[in-house]
Amino acid sequence: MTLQTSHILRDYMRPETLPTTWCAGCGLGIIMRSIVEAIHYQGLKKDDVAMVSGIGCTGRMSGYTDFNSIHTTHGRAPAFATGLKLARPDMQVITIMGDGDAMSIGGNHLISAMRRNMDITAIVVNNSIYGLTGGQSSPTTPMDSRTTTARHRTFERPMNLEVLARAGGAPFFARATVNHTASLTKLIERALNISGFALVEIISNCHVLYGKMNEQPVASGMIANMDKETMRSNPLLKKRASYPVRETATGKTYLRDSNSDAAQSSVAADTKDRGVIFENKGSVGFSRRYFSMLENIRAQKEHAGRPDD
Amino acid sequence: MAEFEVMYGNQAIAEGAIAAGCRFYAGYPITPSTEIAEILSDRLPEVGGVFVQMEDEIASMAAIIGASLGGLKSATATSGPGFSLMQENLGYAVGSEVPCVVINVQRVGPSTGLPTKAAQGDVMQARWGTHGDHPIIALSPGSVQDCFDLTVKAFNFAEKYRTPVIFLADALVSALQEKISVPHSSELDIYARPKPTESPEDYKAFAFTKGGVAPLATFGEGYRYHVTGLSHDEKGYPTEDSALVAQWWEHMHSKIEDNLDDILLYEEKQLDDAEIALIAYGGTSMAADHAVAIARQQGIKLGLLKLQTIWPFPEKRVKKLTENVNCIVVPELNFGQVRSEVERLSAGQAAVVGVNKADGNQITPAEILAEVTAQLRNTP
Ligand SMILES: Cc1ncc(C[n+]2csc(CCOP(=O)(O)OP(=O)(O)O)c2C)c(N)n1
Ligand code: SF4
Repeated sequence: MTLQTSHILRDYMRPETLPTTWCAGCGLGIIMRSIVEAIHYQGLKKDDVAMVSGIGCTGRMSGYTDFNSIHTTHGRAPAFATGLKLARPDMQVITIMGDGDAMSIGGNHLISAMRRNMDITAIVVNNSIYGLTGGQSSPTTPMDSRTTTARHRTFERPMNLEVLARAGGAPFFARATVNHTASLTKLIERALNISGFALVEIISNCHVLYGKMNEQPVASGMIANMDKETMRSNPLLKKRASYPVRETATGKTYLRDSNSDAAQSSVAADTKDRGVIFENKGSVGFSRRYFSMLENIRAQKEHAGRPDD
Repeated sequence: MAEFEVMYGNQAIAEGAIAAGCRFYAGYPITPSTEIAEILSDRLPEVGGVFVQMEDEIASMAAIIGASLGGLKSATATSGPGFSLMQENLGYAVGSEVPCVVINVQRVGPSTGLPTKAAQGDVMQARWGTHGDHPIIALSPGSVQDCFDLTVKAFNFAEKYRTPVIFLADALVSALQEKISVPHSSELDIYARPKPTESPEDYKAFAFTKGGVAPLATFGEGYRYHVTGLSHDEKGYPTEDSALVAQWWEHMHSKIEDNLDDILLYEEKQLDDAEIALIAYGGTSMAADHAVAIARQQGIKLGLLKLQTIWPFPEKRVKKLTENVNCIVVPELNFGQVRSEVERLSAGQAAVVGVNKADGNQITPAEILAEVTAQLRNTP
């Protein structure tokens, strides 16, 4: 796809890696823009940001954006990010994974990073399908869908990431869709400020695979109908995801051009927890705890007058 | 001045790691490697390092790669089942040229096998366990002293050649107590990771240098580069250009092949006049050493080539040995994984036989000697 996009995004891309491998109309472009804008608005320096991705269409994002980037193995991004964060606690570490990447092959890494409260901003792109490998069933494929590995329609229940996030102990969980870019950016900004594991699930469109096989072959239609259509056959998602973002979509904070001054101030003024499904305000992340433990050990040693080794 | 201390193998590995500058460990408990994690969970925080217990060995391997990119010398330790799980990301570290040390205290396999018993069954897995025709370095300690010294070497090689180094220990040395000499830090030869000198714009993190590697920039220090498991160009961006992929392979193989003089470590005992030789490594080399001493008392001209570097295989040295002796006996706790390499190199020059076992028992000097005398009887 070509990127017709904000000036901000352009400043954060690696031109030599373009064009992307993504299909025209894929929600991943919107998501990349929102992530970059959130980083920009938060005043983070590129050198201080690491983007760690898994494998999949989503996983390709780490290569396009001009941060310190690791395109890891399928599902393992949270584990790579854990090592990096503990080696460089000063860095803002963001993981980006597809739904299969995060909830199937990488499920244990995701749960464990949550339980540990590792300082990671984790973004999961839920497009209901395995995109890169060509449309096989994923752990979030709604029941009764067609996929290339469920020609006779799926009957497995889709996983609800929110429930997993609660059980895993993540201090922050938010959900948005690619139909609501302004609130999406804002949610990511909030997630970037969490000490510990902040999880953002983004409902995206794979119109060329999931859409084509399930009577929604056009990107714009699929995105516009995201709340109604994508969630239709997934009551769990519908219940949790549709209300906060739809409110934003129709309300005054739904913005087409988030660069304009009006847009800026309006986003800044929006303090409602749209899309934030839960947040534990007192969270202290793993790395802060670990390095304060080291500080204590050092102080104790000094007190005991032992020479440093 | 070096100090003498009594240590057991796993302890010497942990202390060797600290001495080598290891400041990050991620692992998952498994017998007979667990003491390494336990000791490092105590020692690393003391020296300002990071210890983290991961959810499994896949994650452990991933975490040490992440930490190494963050600038810390990194390691993990495991045994059979865990080593199998590490293969995926071990391949990642090979392909993306990220330094790290993977300690495998071998136990009897396959699967859960004999968890507490020594084995040497992972020699070929260390070589070929991850997919693709990749170069690798693997070292194997034959004493508690080796556990310390070779661990330091393992970190040095990892950093110098930007590769994972596999440390193939076994429960014979890992649980053994010995008095060893622990060098003072000023006496140790430690390879510090070099920093790039060029500008970030000119920096090529994956330069296809022949016989060497580019310095690996630490994440967060102004060199924003991309790391991927896909075939990549010198900047790290994915490519399907077969000419570039071919150049990459040349670089990958040459960085090891052109430095064999540095990488190949072995010890020779009484080989000068030997008519028959042992090739041994790891815990089994202790019995082999003992067998040589007894044989010499009996007037048998037996010598020993003790391998410390297993991969790359010391082909030249072994080939030369096959030209100088009539017979080579290879005792190992598997069914002939190193013997098959020796046979290949001998190509009929010297007879090559094994003393093999994988039932949890160790190979005794008497068993080795029995094979040696049987071979002497066979030779005209
Ligand atoms: C260990 C392993 N198994 C399988 C694959 C093949 N594979 C690559 S991407 C992918 C699924 C991607 O789906 P998802 O995570 O939902 O991301 P999307 O492509 O939809 O963004 C699979 C199965 C792989 N790369 N590694
Ligand atoms: S296959 Fe689907 S997820 Fe992948 S780029 Fe195309 S539209 Fe996007």
